[in-house]
Amino acid sequence: MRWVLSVFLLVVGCGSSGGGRPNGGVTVGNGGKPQCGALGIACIGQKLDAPIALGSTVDLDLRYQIAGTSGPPTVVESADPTVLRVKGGAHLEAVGAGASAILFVGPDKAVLDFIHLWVQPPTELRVVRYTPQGTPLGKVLPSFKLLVKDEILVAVEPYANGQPLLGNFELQRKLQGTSVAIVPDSISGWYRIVARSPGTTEINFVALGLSAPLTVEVEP
Amino acid sequence: MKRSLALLLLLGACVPEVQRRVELYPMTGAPPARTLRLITRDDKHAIEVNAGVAFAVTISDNCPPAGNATPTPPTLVIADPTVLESRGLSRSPAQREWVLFAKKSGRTTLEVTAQCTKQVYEVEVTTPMGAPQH
Repeated sequence: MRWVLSVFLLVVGCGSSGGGRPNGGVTVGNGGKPQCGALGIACIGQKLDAPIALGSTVDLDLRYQIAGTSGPPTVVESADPTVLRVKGGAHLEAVGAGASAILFVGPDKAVLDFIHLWVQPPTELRVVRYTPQGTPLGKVLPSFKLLVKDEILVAVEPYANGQPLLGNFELQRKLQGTSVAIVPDSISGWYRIVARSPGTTEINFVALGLSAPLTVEVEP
Repeated sequence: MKRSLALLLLLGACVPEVQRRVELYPMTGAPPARTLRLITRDDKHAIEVNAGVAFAVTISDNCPPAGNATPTPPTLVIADPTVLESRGLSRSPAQREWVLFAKKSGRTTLEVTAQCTKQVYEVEVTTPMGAPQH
């Protein structure tokens, strides 16, 4: 017998300080269809619509809407810690390729719901351009031109065989040249490439064992 | 009269004894490309599942009602909880719904005990095909 409980568990991503989908793909309240746990009583507000990139992390912010009670204290547990490791509350580390259930465990170790998450090694680091409103415009070409004072908003995101991956990760950026500057945006995960002076600059984003080189030519 | 009595005794002897059973039934399945088989046959009770998979089960038995006494909820005992672990479901006040999750490759047994009978499941947790060995 299935109990119909008005339980909604919202999982909201915290922002990344490095690379990854901007702001962890937070979609609560944006009209998207919620993703629910296997038991149908816990629904997830965060976009967990893809595998997590191996080597990256995902932060879960657990929230409940349970009729008649506030959200109970919850512990997040991983079924297979060789795939996903839980560190510090709801901080998930993708440590091995594969799939593992993540259990939302309430008081007295009773399980509220669970969801299976996948981990996949990334094969490509892609630089994606966004509008200021956050709409993705597409992949940035390896070589492009800007005019002085132009700026573009980009995020560096991992892909595997064409499929976007989730996760936050440390991103290194290396520049050869002074014609452009890379400025981290106030929204985590986004960077502004700002054209400062005429010339050519080589940019290389490095993360997760991959790199995404760009050549930017700035014209007067 | 004697014939009728003998016939009644014969009929009574033919009434099959109710076989007491306690069994697990899956409430959820495995994610794509992962295996979960819960085998419940007279000759075999087994669980075959890939590591990392969690699934919910409900326990069903045909034990006679306990009358006025408070019914004892069934119990699950896993021989090696490093291979397979069980947790109660928070929404299951009758304590008949559980979540099982496969933690690593290996074999173990799961014993389900109801008020009148018990059943042992052979459990095999495997690494999925093509997955890296950890």
